[in-house]
Amino acid sequence: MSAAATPGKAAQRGKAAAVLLVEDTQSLQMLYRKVLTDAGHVVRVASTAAEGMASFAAQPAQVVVLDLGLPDRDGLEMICDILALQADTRIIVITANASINRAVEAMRAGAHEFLVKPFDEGRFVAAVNLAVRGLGKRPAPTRAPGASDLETVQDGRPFLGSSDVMGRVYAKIGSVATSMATVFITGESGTGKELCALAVHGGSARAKGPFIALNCGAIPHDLLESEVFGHVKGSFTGAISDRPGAATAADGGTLFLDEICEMAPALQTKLLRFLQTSTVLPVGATRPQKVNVRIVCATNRDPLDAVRRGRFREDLYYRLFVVPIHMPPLRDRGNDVIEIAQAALQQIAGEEGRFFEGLSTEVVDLFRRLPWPGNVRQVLNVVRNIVVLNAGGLVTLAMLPEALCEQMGRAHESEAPLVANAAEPGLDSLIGRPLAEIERLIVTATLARHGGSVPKAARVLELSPSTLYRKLESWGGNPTSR
Amino acid sequence: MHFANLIVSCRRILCRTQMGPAVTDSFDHDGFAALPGLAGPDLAAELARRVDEDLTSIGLILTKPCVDRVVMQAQSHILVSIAGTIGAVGLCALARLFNARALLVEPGGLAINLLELRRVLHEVSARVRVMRAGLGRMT
Repeated sequence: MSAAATPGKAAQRGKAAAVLLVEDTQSLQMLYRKVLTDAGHVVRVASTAAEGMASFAAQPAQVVVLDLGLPDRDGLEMICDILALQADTRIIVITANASINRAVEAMRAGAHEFLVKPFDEGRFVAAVNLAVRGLGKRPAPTRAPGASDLETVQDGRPFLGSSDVMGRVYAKIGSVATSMATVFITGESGTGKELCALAVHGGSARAKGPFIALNCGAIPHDLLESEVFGHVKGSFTGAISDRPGAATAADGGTLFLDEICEMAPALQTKLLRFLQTSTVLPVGATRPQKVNVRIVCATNRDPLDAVRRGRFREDLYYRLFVVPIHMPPLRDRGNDVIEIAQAALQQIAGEEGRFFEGLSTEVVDLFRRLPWPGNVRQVLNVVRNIVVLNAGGLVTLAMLPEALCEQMGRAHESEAPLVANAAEPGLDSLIGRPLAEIERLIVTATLARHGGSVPKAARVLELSPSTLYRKLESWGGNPTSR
Repeated sequence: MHFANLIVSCRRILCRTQMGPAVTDSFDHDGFAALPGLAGPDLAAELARRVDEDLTSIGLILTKPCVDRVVMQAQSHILVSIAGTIGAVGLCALARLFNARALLVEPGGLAINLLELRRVLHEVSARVRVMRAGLGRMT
């Protein structure tokens, strides 16, 4: 960090942010703090992971500058914990361990930026300012760990992809957004459920209000109630001040509850009460508060199956499952994978300061044939891997991660296991159930696999579409004329 | 290339790599002199004290007779950061080489590198102490 390479203070000054600096080397901690303070940020410091987590839990920061080599814990583990507490935190990793593996691990864990020590002052301040600017792109959102900037609303269109199946999703989002109806989004992991929720929020009259996302599966059960409804000072050990929950923070906007099926039964009861009364009762409080919140929730499971297994309250299911939107898996979205990969390549290459011409014909062909079990998130990870590990040029097969090529090899050996949906029932789980229920599960899973298309599912099941429609009607489903 | 072969090749390269005094003693005097300016008049002396103490602490650990390899790596990473920040370019490069050797090579090669590292670290610490003393007189 040298003064000679330093731009003027005014040039460095960006939007002020609350920054938590976790650095155990005292001299560096002092210097980094001074530099960031001079750049206009409000900086708190911690010397250990434990101290950092305690500081963050007491008062979350917008940006965390995190040294990976901490004395009490690996900084990488801390990234996950920070994002679980506040998913929209921008984490800038700083380390002298400049290995590519370490960088990839950090980015995969959800880091926003990876700086190799020693770095110059200008680069450091620019990284923090860039992270702060990124925070303002959406109205106070919180994001699921691992979500990428690419997965944002672009050019007024909610997603990348122009397949027919996504066209139907766009239309449904457009119809439902303007209403106050509760939206229940289903789909495999990585299909863009949070984006869908953001699109619903963005198209609604509440678009200028907050969009608060909470991952019910990522927060420890004993903290979830406090996260959703807030707490008052002294209500439990560590509650050192009053803290509003996500439901209060979303007042006037949208509360997105991701992985809703992972919510503990006791909290489901409280959520139901909240939905019925539109009031929240923070932990330890005696007087409920009225809030005006639209609920959008999502799961990668079959919610009805969770109800049948007693994991999810039936009354809550019917309260939430008002307008279902199913996000199709990438393998059912035709050429969308290429559109997404090309756009991701340009954006990530730009972020990394590299130039890639595009995808070679062989790569395009391979991408079209791959089953992409991790869906869009997997494509983004693959593209980031390519950009980070290669200098540039045309993306060829040799540049692809080995794991992807192995996946293709396995797909050649047997396609069926690769395209199997994790949310679909395995044979073991079917044994012991009534035949009628098994039929219903198979039909539901087949429909889900084909993006809700009755004609396609009927073809696979060797039924006529009209028979399938009749079955769905008899089960109380809502078949469309797709 | 097979991973085992890669490690062998790295070891050979690292064992051959010798840094002459021209490299290990290289120092960015302007960067070092600018350090108090970065900290500002109120904090310059305190920063010099902390740099001195951090370098001393690393030096003490690296002079222990049987230092654990993981500790060596961790300390060399800290040394890379501090040395690079204060303009001790040679020490930074030496610490990087030492870190790589701590990962790959046998204790013999590491010991030779450690002697040189200690020597340069001692010289850089002396410069920092001079700066610290100067700043102490000013406050």
